[in-house]
Amino acid sequence: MRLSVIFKFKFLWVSLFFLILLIGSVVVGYFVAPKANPYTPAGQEAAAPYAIPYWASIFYGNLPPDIKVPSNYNLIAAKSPSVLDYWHVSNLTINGDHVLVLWNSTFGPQGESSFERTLSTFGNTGNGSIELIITGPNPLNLTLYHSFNYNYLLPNSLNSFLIQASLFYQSSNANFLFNGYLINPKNQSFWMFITGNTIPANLAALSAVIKYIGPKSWNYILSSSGDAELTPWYYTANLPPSVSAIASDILLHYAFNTTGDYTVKFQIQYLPSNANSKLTLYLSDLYFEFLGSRYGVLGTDNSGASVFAEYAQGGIFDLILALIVGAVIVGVGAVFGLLAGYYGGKMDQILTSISDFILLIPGLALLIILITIFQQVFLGANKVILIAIVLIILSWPPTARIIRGQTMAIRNMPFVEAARALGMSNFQILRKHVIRHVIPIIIAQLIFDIPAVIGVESALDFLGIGIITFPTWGNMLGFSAHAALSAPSFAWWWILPPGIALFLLGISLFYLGEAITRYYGTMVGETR
Amino acid sequence: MAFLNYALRRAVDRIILLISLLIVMWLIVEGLPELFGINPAVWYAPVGQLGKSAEFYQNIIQDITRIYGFNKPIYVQFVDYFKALLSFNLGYDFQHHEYVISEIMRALPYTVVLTVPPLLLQTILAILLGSYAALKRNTWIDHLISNYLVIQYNIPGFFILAVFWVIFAVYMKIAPISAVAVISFSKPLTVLDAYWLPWLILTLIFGFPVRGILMRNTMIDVIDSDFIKYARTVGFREKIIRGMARRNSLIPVITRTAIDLAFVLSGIYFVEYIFGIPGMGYLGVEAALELNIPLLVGSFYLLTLYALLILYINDLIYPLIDPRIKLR
Repeated sequence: MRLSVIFKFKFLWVSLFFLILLIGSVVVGYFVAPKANPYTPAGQEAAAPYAIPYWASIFYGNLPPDIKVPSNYNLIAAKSPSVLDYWHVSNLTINGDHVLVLWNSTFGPQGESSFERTLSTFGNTGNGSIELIITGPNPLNLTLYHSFNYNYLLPNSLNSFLIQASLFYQSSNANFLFNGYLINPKNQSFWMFITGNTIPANLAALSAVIKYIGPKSWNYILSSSGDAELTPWYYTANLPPSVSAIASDILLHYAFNTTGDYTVKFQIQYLPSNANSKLTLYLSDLYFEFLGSRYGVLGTDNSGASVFAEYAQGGIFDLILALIVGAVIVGVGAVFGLLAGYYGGKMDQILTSISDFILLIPGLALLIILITIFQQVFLGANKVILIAIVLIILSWPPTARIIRGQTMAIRNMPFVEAARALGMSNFQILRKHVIRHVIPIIIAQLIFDIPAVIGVESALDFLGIGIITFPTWGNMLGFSAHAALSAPSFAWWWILPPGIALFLLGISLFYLGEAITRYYGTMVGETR
Repeated sequence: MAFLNYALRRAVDRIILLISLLIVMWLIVEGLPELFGINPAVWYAPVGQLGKSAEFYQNIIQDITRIYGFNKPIYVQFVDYFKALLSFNLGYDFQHHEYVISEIMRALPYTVVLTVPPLLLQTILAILLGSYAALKRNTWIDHLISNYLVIQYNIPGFFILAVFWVIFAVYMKIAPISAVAVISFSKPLTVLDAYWLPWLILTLIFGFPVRGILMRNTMIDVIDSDFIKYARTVGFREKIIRGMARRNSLIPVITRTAIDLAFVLSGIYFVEYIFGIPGMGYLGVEAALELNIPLLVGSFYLLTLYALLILYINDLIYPLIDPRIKLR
């Protein structure tokens, strides 16, 4: 074997460069970017919608990034004792009341029914909580706080912030209220939620952010400026009814109206009824996040999901699908092509007429019809498998035809005749002579089929006929183009990566196939 | 006489193909579902009626079953289907309350105007660039043109389209946001206004990769052939030699153009989708998205019929432009 010859082709190096670049970026993305499906809430709200890539802020000015308080999962989920220092709580004795602050490593949030996981919310995080034991006869306000610096451009209406907590209590002869606040540098205090085992009568409207909680179970509370119904001003009289629907936006701009040090504050109001009163409160998942306008390597899409995650997950799916479908196409094509080319006759006629039939009708239109109707006929069938099957049905004949042509050329070569004269059986000749000479064509065909499969599949996804429930490069392009067409809000960081990836994949595999074909040419003595 | 014989034989071939296509279509749309116990009438019923009461919906299904004869024996259904398609009775679109054929006829001009001018421009460019690359074989010009063709072949069109649409229509505002809003066929200027960008993209970016490469490779073969070498030895001027070589290389390109012409009407889903042109591609995508089976199948049938017709005409023209070919 003169394997080294193949390395002399310039094409090969170009293609390998692009291919490694592409696959490398997908693999890096798989390890770096969030793993949750970006088309479900669990993979969204990584940052504000249409956040630019982090590095692109040189073009857009000093946009705010995500601000997380605390920034570390161990502190959020109270997995380490330093959470007590972080929120500035400690034992104290005041006015006849005793506050005992402990870190409890064996008890933590679980079974919170109102919690919905996104990339910016934390709940049901398991063992680990702050345990506060308050005893004494007198009312007491206990505050947990942490400050952060906001030194960026003021937020636009896509930004939002949220504040959340998980709590569990046991009380005897004591009521309590648990409030969340955001305090801005002008010392304006923005009340975000109130919860507890008693709710003041003037806040009677029970809602997502003003709620009564019962004992003996973990409770999750979330207040946000991203959604009017999670905003306290939507329920209170701070705003006239005419604008309450945009309460969240108003709250955001009132709260973030200057740069400087902001404070996140959780306040416990202890309301004892007699000298034996005791309240045990477990707190965890205390968390504030400002969803910023720059995020990660490739920014976010229109629902705040990481584009890099979509790119990586879509790339992995596309490449695996194309590899499998391409292999099946080439496998089926090779079998039919070899048999038809070697034996000829009826087999050849059938193959030729099937491939004629498929080549002579508009391919994409037929594909759309088949997928639309198969979806209705095989209800509940996996769409990926459906698309794969339709692609295979429509794509194997042309491949078989190319292999057939090559087989026919080889069948008529002198060495095959010699082998036949020596008395080798047809099967032996096929195995020893024909397949060995067709293998490079089969490999090249596989390499040409991969981008073709990805291209067609992406086209279907782009049009919304194929896969839309999880990311592929095609539906990324579809959704980003659709967002650009309808809003129009054109996110170049969203539309370019899948487009360029598809393009590079096509180019690199084309050149790779070209190099293999030419290598084969040098092997059989062709010079070009 | 030989030509007539050939023409008839090809016609028979194409008609067999058409009939097998009809059989396959019937199998997909009616045969297969009925085999699986689904009444195809549910696809013909307008989706908007699903929300109505069960009894009301059932009545609609029964009416459609009766009108289309889904309750008849299966071979009668097949014959009916066959007759209907051959007489261009493509059915009624219950979702848009219109006959499928009239919807298609309304969409067709948009697509024809969109696709045919670029096809001509593409072919001219393919011939010019391909022959130029062949003449400058293995120089940087050849590599440039060849790689340009490879790029055209691999570029995912839908992504380029969206980017161009944003740049030219949204930011620079020199193309309309949606073509359907401005276009009126009685005023040629509005057609130009709406179509210049799609035309340009179709010509230069979707392009002519197969035709260009075909032209280049054929031209190289022709230049290497004996009669050109002979012409060189005789001492013809280079310009005349090039003319001879070009004319002989044109044949495969023209054939390929005809094949492209056959499929051009169906291959422009993305252009129409992005630029808001209510043509055949847009119709097909809309139909697939709203499960509008009559419209989908009807437009597919007409597109295929058109493709077969063009391919047959191509078969007939082929021996005329290349007398060397043996009639088969």
